[in-house]
Amino acid sequence: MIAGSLGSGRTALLVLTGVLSGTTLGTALAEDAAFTARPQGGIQGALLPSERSLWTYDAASGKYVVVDGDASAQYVPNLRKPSKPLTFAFAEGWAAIPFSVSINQGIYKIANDLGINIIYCDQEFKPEKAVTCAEQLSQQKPDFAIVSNWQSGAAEAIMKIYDEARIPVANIDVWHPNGIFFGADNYASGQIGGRAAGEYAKALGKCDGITIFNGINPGEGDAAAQRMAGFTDGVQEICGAVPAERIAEEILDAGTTEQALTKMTDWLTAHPEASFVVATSIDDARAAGIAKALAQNGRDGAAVGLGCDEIGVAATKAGEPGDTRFLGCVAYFPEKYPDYLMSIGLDVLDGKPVPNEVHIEHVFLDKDTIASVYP
Amino acid sequence: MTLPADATTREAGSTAPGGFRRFIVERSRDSSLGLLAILLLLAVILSFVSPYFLTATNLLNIGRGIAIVGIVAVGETIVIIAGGFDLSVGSTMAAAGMAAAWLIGLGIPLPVAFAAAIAIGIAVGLANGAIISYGRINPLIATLATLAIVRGLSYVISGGRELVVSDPAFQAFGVGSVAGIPYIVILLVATFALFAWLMPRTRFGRYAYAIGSSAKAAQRAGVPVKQWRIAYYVTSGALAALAGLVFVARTGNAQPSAALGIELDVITAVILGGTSLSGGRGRIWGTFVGLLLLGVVNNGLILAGVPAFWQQVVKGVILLLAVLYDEIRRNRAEEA
Amino acid sequence: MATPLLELRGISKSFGPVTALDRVDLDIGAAEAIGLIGDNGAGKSTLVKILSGLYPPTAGTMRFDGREVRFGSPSDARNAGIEMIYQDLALCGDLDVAANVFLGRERRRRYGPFTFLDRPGMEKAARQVMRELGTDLEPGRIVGALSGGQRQLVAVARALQFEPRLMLLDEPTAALSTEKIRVLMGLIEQLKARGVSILMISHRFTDILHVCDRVVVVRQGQIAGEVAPHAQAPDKTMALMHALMTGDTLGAVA
Repeated sequence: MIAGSLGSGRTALLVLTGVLSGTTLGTALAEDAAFTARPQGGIQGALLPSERSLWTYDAASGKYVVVDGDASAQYVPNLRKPSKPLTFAFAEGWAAIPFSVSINQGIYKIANDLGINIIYCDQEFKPEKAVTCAEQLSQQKPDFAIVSNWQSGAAEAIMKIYDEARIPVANIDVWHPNGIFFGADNYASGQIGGRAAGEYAKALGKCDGITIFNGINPGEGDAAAQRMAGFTDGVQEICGAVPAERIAEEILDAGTTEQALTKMTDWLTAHPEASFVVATSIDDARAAGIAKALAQNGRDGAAVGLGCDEIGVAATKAGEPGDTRFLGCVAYFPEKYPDYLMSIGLDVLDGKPVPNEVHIEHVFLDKDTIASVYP
Repeated sequence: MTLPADATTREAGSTAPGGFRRFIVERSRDSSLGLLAILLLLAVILSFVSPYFLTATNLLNIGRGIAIVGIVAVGETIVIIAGGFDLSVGSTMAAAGMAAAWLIGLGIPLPVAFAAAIAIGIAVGLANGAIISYGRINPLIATLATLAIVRGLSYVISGGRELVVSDPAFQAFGVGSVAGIPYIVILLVATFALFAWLMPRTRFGRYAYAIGSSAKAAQRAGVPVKQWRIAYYVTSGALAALAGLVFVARTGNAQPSAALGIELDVITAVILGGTSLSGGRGRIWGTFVGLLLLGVVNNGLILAGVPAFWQQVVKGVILLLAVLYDEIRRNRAEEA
Repeated sequence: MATPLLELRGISKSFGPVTALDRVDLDIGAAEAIGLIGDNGAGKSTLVKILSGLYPPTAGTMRFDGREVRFGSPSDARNAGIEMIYQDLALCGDLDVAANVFLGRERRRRYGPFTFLDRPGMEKAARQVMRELGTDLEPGRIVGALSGGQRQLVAVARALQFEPRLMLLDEPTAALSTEKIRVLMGLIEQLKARGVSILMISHRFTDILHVCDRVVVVRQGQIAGEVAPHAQAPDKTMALMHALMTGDTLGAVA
């Protein structure tokens, strides 16, 4: 219902800010404690199933248009050999990140299997490079573009270039105007992690006096921020409402374990009263840094990784959370991303309706369960 | 008594028979001809590798891609010629871009917002120049400090948040073009042309070379070295701020982490262009050639479909080969 | 003798408790070349720095061209007509000959609100002054690629460009071979012929002192005496200078 009005004239700011209304994801658990998860809805890139609509691409106008139909069902990838030779563009988020690497490898493998040509550009997590990639990829006239840009502020500038070249786009994890959103269910993934952290605290009898710490980065956009919002809510669903002064955040903008370790250590030094901390950040690398800081400074609690990339899996398997302070991770299944993305591309080019937002189903994995998914 | 004739003629004698050769030797120390040859060779190879390389669109894309780094590199070249160093350019870009985006968001007219952004660049340059000239602090350390301070202040003031710019005129500056040539490419070329023209024709330029060559000698000759040094850092700051505006116009957003680490690209272009890190030697056009080489390598690696990790390796190797070739060529010229 | 170009009376200079110069009197006549010798730390450099405006004297008076002068900075001294050629020549090796000759005092042309360097004018003038010095050194040559003697020429040309009345030379022979010293001697003769007075520091006895009309010996901050190099045989001159420098006055009288 909202998606239909997504003209390119709207600014990204207006769209991303969104409206906080609609129904809650956490109603089933709301009775557990004196806390109700904040209702989340209407946020681009985190639309509730009922808010999604079906799109097809209109090559003449370079716009996706809404078609009738139910978009709330889970999207199932359907990979097949295309009937004519196709070229897909892949603008990678940053080739230096493990999460991105597994998507990269999967896309190339599927493309190879299906006989699809890939043209490639690394955006290096920099907005100006993302714009340059858009220019260089679109001039090579690909049939479809997979754009993994995490700089939400540059979304409009990038999409303008693809739109002008009449190239349909799917984006990964960050909502872009006139692009099919594919990726994490940011709020839900955070909430799953938050509940796990809450259960851990509850089992240790630490719900009273618990401190919630979020490693944020406003530069990665409001959708990414929803992960921490979900985490904060998830913890409180289990442990009950936590007073605002014990919900803390710090900017971790380098995306590295090293920076998270350093900044978290400094934060802990400044907050000796935080004796039991549950924490998360936008990805596993930063959560791992937070966990290291907790362990090194002798504080109790645990960090939850978001993603289950190589860092997250390794940290989860590393030992007991009581020692490592790393409780586990919420799986984003990056290895499944390529199936979804390539399938979305094939569907769009075949004129099949595709939901304007396709989300992964997240699962929390701990030391005992992770091996069943990532042996 | 007149000058001993044989002595002077022997002095002058070195110019007489080998005069032309000597002339070429001296010119070749600064010229970027060798690099230009490498650039052309690379362009020829790439035009065989990708049918898109030698298209007008792609060449303009290369121009767009180097505009931001290029504008900053002009100021950096001048500072390095004058024996200095400016590491704070990336932070200045971010701060200036944030300021402009914020003011535009408040409804302040574009020219005023632009002027305010440039003023921030000038202020950072003044601070750099004053600390280095009067505080006698090593420029690497001084600008490393201002790099951190300015970046930090951008975070403090913005709360780490990015600002999205939706002003159509400002966006048009970033993506628009006239007669098919993007505004930012015109701005890039104009900036290079202006300073390449000014450097040999003004005291501004001549004193940069003089101070970089020997600040002591310049001081003794009556050149107000401290004031001129400040002028060079102010130029660098102002150009960084201008590049910050281009950055915001091009990407549509301003963020405190913008242009993080860009100084490395900038300094690479300057050094590739033949400017001596010890000061006194360098050419604005040399930096332009260095910048083009960087831009063509970046562009060509994407068009050739080189995987990301290999791109870095190949980039490093090409840069190393270019510098090595240039060095060998120069040494040969000097021995000749 | 007419009024000397420069008259120093009772010039003293102290650095805290250390007295570097103690009531020095010295006259330099027009077109006169004076050698200033003495051991390291005798006070020669301090004296030259006072004359070139780098240090103000602690006490004493300076008269230049009959008028009392006080130099607050090197440019005051330069404006009065005193040029200094430093031991290291103070050239910019990356600039060409013409740029060095005019460094700090470039000729410029005004176009509306802008001024630009008058490069052809400076080049022409530099070529001219080189020709006057008897060399055809190209104004476009980069100074860093020149020989020591050629650089000396550039430094002299730079000083001459401003038509000085008095030229101060700090250890001009220190970096030169015997052959180049002959070139320099020729230059000094030329300067004298143009009516320029010379004050030249040296801490060694060298042949160069033969171009001087008088050699003044400084010892422990005071003028120990002076020698006219042409008044006796060279070995006798050497002995006299040595005696004054070491304070062995008995030898000098004999």
